[in-house]
Amino acid sequence: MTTAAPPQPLTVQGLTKSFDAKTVLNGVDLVVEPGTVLGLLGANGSGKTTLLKCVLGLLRPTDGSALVMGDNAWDLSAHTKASLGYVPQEVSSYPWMRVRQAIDYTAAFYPSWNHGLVADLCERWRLPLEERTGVLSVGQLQSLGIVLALGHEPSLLILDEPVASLDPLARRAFLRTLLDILESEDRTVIFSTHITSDLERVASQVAILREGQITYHGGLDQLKDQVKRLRITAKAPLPPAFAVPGALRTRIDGATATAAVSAFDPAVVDNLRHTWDVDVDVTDLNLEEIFVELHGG
Amino acid sequence: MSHPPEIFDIRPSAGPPIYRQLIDQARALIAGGRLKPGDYLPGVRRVAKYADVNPMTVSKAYAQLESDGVVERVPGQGMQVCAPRTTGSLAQRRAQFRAAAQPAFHHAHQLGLSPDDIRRVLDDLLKEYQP
Amino acid sequence: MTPRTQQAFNAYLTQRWARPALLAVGVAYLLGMGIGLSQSPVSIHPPLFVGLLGGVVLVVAVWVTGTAKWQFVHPRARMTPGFSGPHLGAAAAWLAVGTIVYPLSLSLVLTASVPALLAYSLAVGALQVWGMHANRMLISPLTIALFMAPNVPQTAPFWTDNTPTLFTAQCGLIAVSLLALAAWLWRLPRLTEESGDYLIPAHAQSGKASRMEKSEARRNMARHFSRSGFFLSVSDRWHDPLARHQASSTAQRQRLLRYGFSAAPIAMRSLGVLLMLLLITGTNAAVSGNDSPLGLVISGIMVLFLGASLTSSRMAMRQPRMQTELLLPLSRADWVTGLFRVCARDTVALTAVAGGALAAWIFLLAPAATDTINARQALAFTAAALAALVAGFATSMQAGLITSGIKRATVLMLGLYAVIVACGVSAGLSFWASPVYGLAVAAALLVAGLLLLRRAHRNWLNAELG
Repeated sequence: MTTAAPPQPLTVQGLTKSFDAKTVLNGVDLVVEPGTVLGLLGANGSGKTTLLKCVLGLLRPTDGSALVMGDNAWDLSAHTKASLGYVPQEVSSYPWMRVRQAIDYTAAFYPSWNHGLVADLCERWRLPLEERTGVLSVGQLQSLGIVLALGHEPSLLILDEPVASLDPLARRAFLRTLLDILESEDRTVIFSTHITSDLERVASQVAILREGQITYHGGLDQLKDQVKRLRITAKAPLPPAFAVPGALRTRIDGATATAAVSAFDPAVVDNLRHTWDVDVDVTDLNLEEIFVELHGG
Repeated sequence: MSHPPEIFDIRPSAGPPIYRQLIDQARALIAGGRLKPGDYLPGVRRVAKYADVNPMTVSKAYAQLESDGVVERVPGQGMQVCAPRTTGSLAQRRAQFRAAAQPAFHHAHQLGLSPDDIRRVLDDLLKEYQP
Repeated sequence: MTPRTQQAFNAYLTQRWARPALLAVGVAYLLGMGIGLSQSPVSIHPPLFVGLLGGVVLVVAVWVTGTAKWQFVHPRARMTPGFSGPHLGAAAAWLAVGTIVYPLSLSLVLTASVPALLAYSLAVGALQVWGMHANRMLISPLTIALFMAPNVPQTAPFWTDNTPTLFTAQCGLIAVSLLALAAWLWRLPRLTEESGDYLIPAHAQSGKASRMEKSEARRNMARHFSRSGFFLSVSDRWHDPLARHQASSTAQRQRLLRYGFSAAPIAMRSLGVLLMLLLITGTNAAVSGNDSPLGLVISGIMVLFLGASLTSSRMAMRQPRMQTELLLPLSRADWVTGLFRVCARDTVALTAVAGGALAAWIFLLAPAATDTINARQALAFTAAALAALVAGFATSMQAGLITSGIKRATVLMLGLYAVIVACGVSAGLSFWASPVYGLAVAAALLVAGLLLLRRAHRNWLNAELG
């Protein structure tokens, strides 16, 4: 028996997915190490959901490969699925079943199920156990989806906009639950979201999907260190030839200018100060602002 | 003495990354005397829970503080604030203090205080500080 | 015509097939009328009534009710100013075309009296509209009964004879039907979410429905389920033991898949089908003096159709749930096999119950019907029936992949007709030629069915259910 290292939670190589004439994913490369909390960011229609569905075997890639815990994404083994949790963007349950029955039904499939955790979560989120899932509100359904994905304590958790329909209280409760889970085990979490403030709390890594490709994949902190806004103040109106090297965009307004850079370098800033005899103020940007700047402001 | 996690005010959605906010705030607290040498920083888990952030970020900040020599790890107890370094030449230390003092001077100038007003404030501070 | 009215009319033709279908129907109608008018009026035969008139009225009623209901079961019907007028007008106009204009035109080429034609079309139309609107089980058999009435010797004279009393009766029926249709039109804009009939007949479960439509359909379905107390207790009794279940093998997990299809277990469905079957054969027997095997054959065909459409629609309606089910700890192949097994057991159970009822009917109440066939023929018939069962099952599983209700129904219909024709050929050969030929055809049908089953299995394995 070979003592191979445990397989990577996720390895995606050159993943391409087209629907008829439209190419949504265009050669996506992504490797996720165990224990990472990866936030997948992307504009609407950038292919986040498509990527996650290809990774889970719900859609078949046109080209490229995706390996989940060593298994090919289209043919995940039962063993892999038992340590995999998924919360889809639109949770669909069995409308006639009561919430507790729907939970019991899912629980019956898994070799191990943490009933205590599930009961605790249902109470935290005030899920009405006796109601039929058909009459639940969208937010309650989403909470149910999350509960069903956490019950078997998966080592890889994939969430597609898990908190889009939750109110701020429920969202904070979900974040706390996620953090609780993270502190106890070496779990890997991948979630796509629009809500950058949540990502900033929880994610250790960020991947930005743009036009079908990953344009950034690295630490959240590194991203914040790299993308900055510069505010330049001069004593006289700046000439139109004024440019910040490597800037994403520059705006000149008389004697002040603002620019956003994607690869911040203090040496460049010093150079700027000396070359143009200006005051340069460097501002940190939060994730939402970074996202907007990277997508053209 | 150990401190509660409330001494840190973490804003996840502010510009600076969380770990840097923690480092900056820890340094500021030490410089301001709120954290004295020998005090313990609040535990990683407590800070993470209080601020609702990933514990790994807090660990990262603490590790950076440790490698900078600001705190040191005491097995079984946590991160202890180190005694202030008296290494480095007088010129270096003066330069460090000058860098810290410059924003205050700038602020005083914005308030429209004259050099005499500033000196008066400085004398008061020195009197208060010398025990 | 104001733009609003025009839009309201066009709303009925937005489906891709609607305009070509309407064109085809129009052309067929004009041709038929042309031929009919050039000759002397055709004397009315009951099957003509049902075929020419009844079928058309049913289709128009279903189409108009479905579309109109869809338009009015939506907040925009109340919120948009000036909505009801044009839309009700369009609904009324389309209904009038099918139930008034068309029969009137038929009266020019058939010998039947105008009141008879109108009475029939309006009565069937009204019943069908209300049946679809209220989604009540009771109305269906009534509609079928009325629909078939001209074919039944006892009631056929009501439609074909011409006496003054019949005339008044028919006019009375016309008046009542018109009232019923008017009542429906009156009710449409007054529906509120709390009304019992605020239901979309076409359960918007297909993937193309918008998020809001899906959530509303879900809620309506749940409300529909919550209404019947008996239904709920059966569902609870079946689902509650799940709390103590823990599957420890692939086979057990595959068995668990039987829960995801519907609120009630197979037994309940079989009961429903059995009741419907008894109703039909009972009416048939009561109406005609002796049982010819034809009635039983028709019942058998109905069972096949019913079972197959139930299976395929259940698989199609389960599709939204499949994106989560695919991540349960079952390999894809095991999951597909598990579903197939559950559906197969369901079909076998259904057929066993129905077949048993039929057999009981034959041997207890009409043994004379079996005198015309010998043992070898009976064997050949059974073989043909079994082959039809397998082929029908395969067709239904293949059709289950299609989420669009109409496309699925069409594919299913075509497939099942082919199966029935093959089955009929086999039975015919056994009856008139030799059972050996019949058996051969049955065997061929079985092989075709098994091949289709394997293909359906493979299609499900390769389906993108995300």
